[in-house]
Amino acid sequence: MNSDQGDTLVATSPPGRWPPWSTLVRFAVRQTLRSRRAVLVYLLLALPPVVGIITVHAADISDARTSAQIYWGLTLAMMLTASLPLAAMLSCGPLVSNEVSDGTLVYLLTRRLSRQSVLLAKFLGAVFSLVAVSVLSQALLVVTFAFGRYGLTGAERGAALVGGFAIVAVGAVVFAAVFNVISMIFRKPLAVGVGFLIVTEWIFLTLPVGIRRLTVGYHLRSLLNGITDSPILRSMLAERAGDGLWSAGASGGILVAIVAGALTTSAIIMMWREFTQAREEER
Amino acid sequence: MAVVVELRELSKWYGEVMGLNNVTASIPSGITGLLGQNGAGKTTLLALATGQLRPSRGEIRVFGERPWNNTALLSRIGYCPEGDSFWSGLTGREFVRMLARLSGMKRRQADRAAEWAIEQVGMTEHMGRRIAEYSRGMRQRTKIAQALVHDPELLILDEPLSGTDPVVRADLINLFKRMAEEGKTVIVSSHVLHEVAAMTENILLIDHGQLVADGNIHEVRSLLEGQRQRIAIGTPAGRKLATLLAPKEYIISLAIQEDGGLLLHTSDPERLQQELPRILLDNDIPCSEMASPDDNIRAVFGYLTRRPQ
Repeated sequence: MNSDQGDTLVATSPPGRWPPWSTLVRFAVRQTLRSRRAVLVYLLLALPPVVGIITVHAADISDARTSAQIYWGLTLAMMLTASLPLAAMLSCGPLVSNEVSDGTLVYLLTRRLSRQSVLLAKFLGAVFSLVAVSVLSQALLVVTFAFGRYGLTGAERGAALVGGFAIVAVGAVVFAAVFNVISMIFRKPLAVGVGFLIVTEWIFLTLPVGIRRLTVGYHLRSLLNGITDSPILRSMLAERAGDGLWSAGASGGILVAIVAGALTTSAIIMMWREFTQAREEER
Repeated sequence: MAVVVELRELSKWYGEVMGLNNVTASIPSGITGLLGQNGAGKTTLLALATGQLRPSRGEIRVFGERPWNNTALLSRIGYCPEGDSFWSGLTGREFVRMLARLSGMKRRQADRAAEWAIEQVGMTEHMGRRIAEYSRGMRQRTKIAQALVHDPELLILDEPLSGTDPVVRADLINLFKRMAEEGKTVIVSSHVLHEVAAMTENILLIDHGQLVADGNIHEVRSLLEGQRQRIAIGTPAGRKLATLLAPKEYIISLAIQEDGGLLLHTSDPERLQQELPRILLDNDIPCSEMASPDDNIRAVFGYLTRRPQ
């Protein structure tokens, strides 16, 4: 810490040892939650519970089974297929790549932070924000279908709660990693991201029953199938995927590998972009 | 004087583009000016010194250590980049405080350090405003504050005076000099000779990635004697300023610009730089910027490298 004594600069104590990356995680949370795109992210994630509330009031629900089917239908078709990936693309994708393109990365790299810790801290902060908002949205969805005259029964309620929260949290992490690397590689990450979603998560899902697919959404469904003890959900997944689902362990492993691969690729591309940027400055 | 930064046959290539080529030099404590045209290799050298880039060949040592992947060393270095980039939505205080926290300070310590650093650059009254509302000169001062905030032993400043008005420029030069007197090492890059001449006599001159001269600035300045230099002064009161400057013997010509600013030719830019802040303050003339459209360093390189510039 410095103090100013007249015209003399005096160092009174050296910088402390507080881990700087925790500050960066908090800053990334703030950037994610307060950015201009955040409003769009909130709207996207508010969509499943809003549609759920409208459905509950408009549809003629006469038993708990129908409630569970609509709940899982909204979780699979709306939350995991559209709202969550689009929200991840908007909020987490540009967080690290913008540091490079905007030229603010230099402030971080000339502090006590390695490249890896900058990447991880920003990723963790963005993912934490996305998980918090998406789990809140999923909680509203659970509340919408868990109570009332024909609400979910005890066992289904537990499965909806645990399975829904777990899969949304895991999905947020994986989609954030995927869109992070897309933002690092491509100059128009939004266009590429939407293209990626349409091809891998939407078109591939329409492939015939029984075919195993290497998409994030498909592995999230396999994981959900393995960790959730809900007969209604299982019959819905079997109807759509047949015996093409992977085991929960295999899908979990593949999702971990996707996240690790995406982060490693991001780190390598980050260094490459720094290098090319420095080259352009010297040209 | 102790050697703080040592370069040994240091080279950096970006594929086919050469950033720095076989540079050997020593930078002692005190102020050193790093002079060169845009694209000469100054920023590459500073990026190597702050561990942002790894040398392609040779070696750079700061305080006896290699900077690449050496985060512990970075707490002894303060860096002010040339680029005009900031995170959006932050106030000056939040920006400097966050970078203090990223230097390893606890909350209260960071608060005090940020207040101190902002005060050093004369930005105290503006630190609660968003950086997006700042003028170029204010943003420049904020960048210098973040470089000072963790009280580094070595300050590396890439074009720190660009965009500043003459009064702020004089204040910042005094601040750099004061830090050097306190035993810190200050490396200032610039493409404007008289800016560096106002701070130090010790220079490194870089051209096309190579060190073309190092040592005393007077030898370089003697090469420029008799050459006139163009200076642009951003002010809405160009006519009034022209009337005040016209009698000075070092003013060769004066012209009022369309925006009200003043464009002049001078035979002694350093003297103009010394006297201008007092003239502006005494006559209450606002001034947003002072710049040298002529790259006078090009003439020096012409002499030193025998290349037509």
